Amino acid sequence: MGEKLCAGKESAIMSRSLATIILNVPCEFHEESFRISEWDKEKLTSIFTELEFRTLGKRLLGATFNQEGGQTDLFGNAVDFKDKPRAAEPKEVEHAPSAMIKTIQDVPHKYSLVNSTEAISQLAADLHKHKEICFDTETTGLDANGCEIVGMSFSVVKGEAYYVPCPIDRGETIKFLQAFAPLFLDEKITWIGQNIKFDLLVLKNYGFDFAGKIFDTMLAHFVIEPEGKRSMDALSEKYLEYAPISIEALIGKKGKGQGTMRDVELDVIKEYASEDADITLQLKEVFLPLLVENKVEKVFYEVDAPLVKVLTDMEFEGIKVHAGFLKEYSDVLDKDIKIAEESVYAQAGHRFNLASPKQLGEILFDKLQLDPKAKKTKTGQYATGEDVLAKLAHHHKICDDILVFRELSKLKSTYVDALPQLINPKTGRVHTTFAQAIAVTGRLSSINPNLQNIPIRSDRGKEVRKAFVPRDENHVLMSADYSQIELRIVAAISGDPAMCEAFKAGKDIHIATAAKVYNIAESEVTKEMRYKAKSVNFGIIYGQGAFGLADNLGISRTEAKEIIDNYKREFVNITKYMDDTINFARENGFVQTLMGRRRWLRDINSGNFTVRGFAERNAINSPIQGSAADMIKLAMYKIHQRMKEEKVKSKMLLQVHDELVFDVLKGEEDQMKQLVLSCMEYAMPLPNEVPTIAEVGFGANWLEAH
Amino acid sequence: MKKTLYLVDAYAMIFRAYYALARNPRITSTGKNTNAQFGFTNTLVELLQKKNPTHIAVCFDMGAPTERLETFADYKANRDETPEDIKLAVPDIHRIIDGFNIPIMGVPGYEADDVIGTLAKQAEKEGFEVFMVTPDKDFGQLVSENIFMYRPPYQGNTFEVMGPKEVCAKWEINHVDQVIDILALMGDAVDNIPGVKGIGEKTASKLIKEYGNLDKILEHADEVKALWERNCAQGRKALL
Repeated sequence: MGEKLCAGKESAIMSRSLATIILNVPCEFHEESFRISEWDKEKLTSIFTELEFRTLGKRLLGATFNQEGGQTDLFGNAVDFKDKPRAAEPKEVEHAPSAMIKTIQDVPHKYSLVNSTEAISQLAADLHKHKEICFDTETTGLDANGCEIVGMSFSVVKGEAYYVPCPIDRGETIKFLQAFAPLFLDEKITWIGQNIKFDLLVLKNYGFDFAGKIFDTMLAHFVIEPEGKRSMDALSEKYLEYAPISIEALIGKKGKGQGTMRDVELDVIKEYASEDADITLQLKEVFLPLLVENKVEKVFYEVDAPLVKVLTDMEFEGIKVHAGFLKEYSDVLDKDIKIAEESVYAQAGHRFNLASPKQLGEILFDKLQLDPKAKKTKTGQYATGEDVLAKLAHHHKICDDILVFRELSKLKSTYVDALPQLINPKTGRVHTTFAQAIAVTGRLSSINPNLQNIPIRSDRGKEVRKAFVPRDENHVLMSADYSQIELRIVAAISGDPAMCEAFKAGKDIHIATAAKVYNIAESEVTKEMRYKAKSVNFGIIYGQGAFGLADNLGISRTEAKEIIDNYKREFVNITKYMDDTINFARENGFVQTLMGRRRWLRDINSGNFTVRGFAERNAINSPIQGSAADMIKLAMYKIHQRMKEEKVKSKMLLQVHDELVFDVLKGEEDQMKQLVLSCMEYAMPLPNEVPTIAEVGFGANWLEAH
Repeated sequence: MKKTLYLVDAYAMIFRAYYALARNPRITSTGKNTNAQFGFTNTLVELLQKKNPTHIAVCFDMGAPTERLETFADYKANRDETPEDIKLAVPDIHRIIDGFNIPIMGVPGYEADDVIGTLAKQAEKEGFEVFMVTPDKDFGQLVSENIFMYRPPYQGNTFEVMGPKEVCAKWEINHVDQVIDILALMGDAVDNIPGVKGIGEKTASKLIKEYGNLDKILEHADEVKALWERNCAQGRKALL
């Protein structure tokens, strides 16, 4: 300490002068000129308009604020920005009330209640004259497989809508809605809705299927602007400058006290539901030209929209989960967790709260002195993250025990104990929801529960997959997955001759890569070399540099750099692809997949190294991951079609990124295998004739099938 | 009603606004990032509407090299290059401040800190209650009975007003002047004040508590060293 002080004396004295705020600056405080005065509304209007502060402008300046946001320049001339790279639409993250946003009070509308049998038949007949019908359902909840229909609204003309309330009794409702069955079954009708999969699934639970085409405004907005909010209320405020009636005005705030749509007065729910259908129809009109302008019609009409009905059917099916197996496994885990925990306490010398990182850090680094160079976090505690413990685990059993404790505890609470709770009492199965408009790359997300992140790396994690079983003894689970799909896409879009050749020859791509990188024969490639080559291959997909690779492999940065340099030399076109992609993004503000799905990268030209680097990695990764997502979506649609055509009894159940899971009726195994493989392999032919390979497995549970 | 003067540290607020929205940026239809403009305006409006100040000014660093830079070439060198978006935002923010009819203060060769400090002390003499709107810790040295730090809300925290009591409590010191000595010892990564290598917040505060000020500490460096070594023998925890 004293030494530090002696050495730092000069620095301290200089620092003191740097830290001292100067109080004799030549400036003077004039009371009058600092006094608050009237705002210059003209100046504020001009700058707010230019910056497109629409909501803020209206809030501060009231009705005088005319908003022509973004379309005029400083001098009021129209600015044409159509051919400039556009980094998506402006986002207003404000929630302030504003004068210019209209509500149901300000806009003429004709929302009618349709209540009698005759009126319903009349409505159905009138609607059937239209080729496009916007509709919405009101329900008692958000679980489409568990809630009841309260009513349906329809709109075919802006400003007009109809609300049909449904009886409480299920059988009555089915009879009631029968009037619309001819519409539902008409292949020529396009159904418009916001998150329409929910409505389709609700109606499917009442026995109604839709034969027509689908236009989902949420999905349209997703391909136009993959990032940002897209609830109907948000879209309406942004694109229509109209604030719909809030659901909280009807049934109260979220939480325990919230009522259901059943409790809402008929007159009120009529206005609310009709407005939803009306607004959704209007949004569709706004999005149509935007789909064209952004050149995303293809991915919308060929990939995302057709998938809606496929996913509806999959969510309807759900998958059988063996609750008894999970209960037993929970007990096994419980025992092992206790053993690991006790072992930790024994080595620590006493009991403490293992869940507290603070206490754990003190035990490991103060008491046991496992690492004299232990790092601390910002809050002053020792870091006890997985990476830290994993490094120490080789030499200290206590760290290994802690890791086991953590892994098993997480497994138990997130899956083993949670899954049985999620079994639908009506169907006895677990029904996930596939969210189509969350992941910006275009991948599907699985929520409530998330079945896409069940651990498969560890043996303990894998066991959970055993709980997923066929629906009965007449069925068997089938899993089909793409092999090395992302690397094949890299090879195909970069056109790298070496890599394309390896795939065409059906080689193990990582061995082929290792042979090139180490400049040896493929037969001489060791396991370790293959492992390193594999890391580079995947590192490339994620835009990883020497630093990341070194960290991943536990090798020196010099060695990592050498491997990467060799790689870049051997696979010249891959380097070129990466450079070209980044340059494309810099010029255009976006990157795109093989089906034309765009991802906007507004930070790609940022002056900040970190921010720009992040955008560059996304630029490289998004077309690859997104193209893989497009491919499996196309495959799913084809499989769904073919299964209908061939009238098989088997069902498609789950998608886990590059894997599909099916309940296959015994006897249909060969047929399904062929059907699925051919649909997957020919879903989206890759450039440069890179072959696409899928593999299929069967089993008495998901683990066995995979 | 007491006259209140709010002095806004412009760049501190602009940076904060920019990074607070960095994950969900606001982009205009022409592709312009308006995080800084938007966040700054929001903070300013909130201040005007909630605090109802009678007097206000916004203070900027001016382009010319400051006295400190002449002292230490690395001063503030640690800062990442100012993001392009922020550079582009400053003229807009000038226009916004102008639109609110608020004076913009800045003196070439001095930092906003110095301008704020000078104005604050002058206004205090004229009977004002002064609030320095900034998150920067070095302003702690300026607070008094009538001068406060006003830290605007950030990431869900509410705003915070710091007077002498709060500043002293934060650093465990007796007098706000000691903030300078604390910073001289521990340094400030944001401003790249070097401080003394190996001394952090805790030690700095401990030493100041023991010896009162930096000069005394440096005078007694040998004693500190001896104490240090003895403590080392007993286990380093005592001093640290």
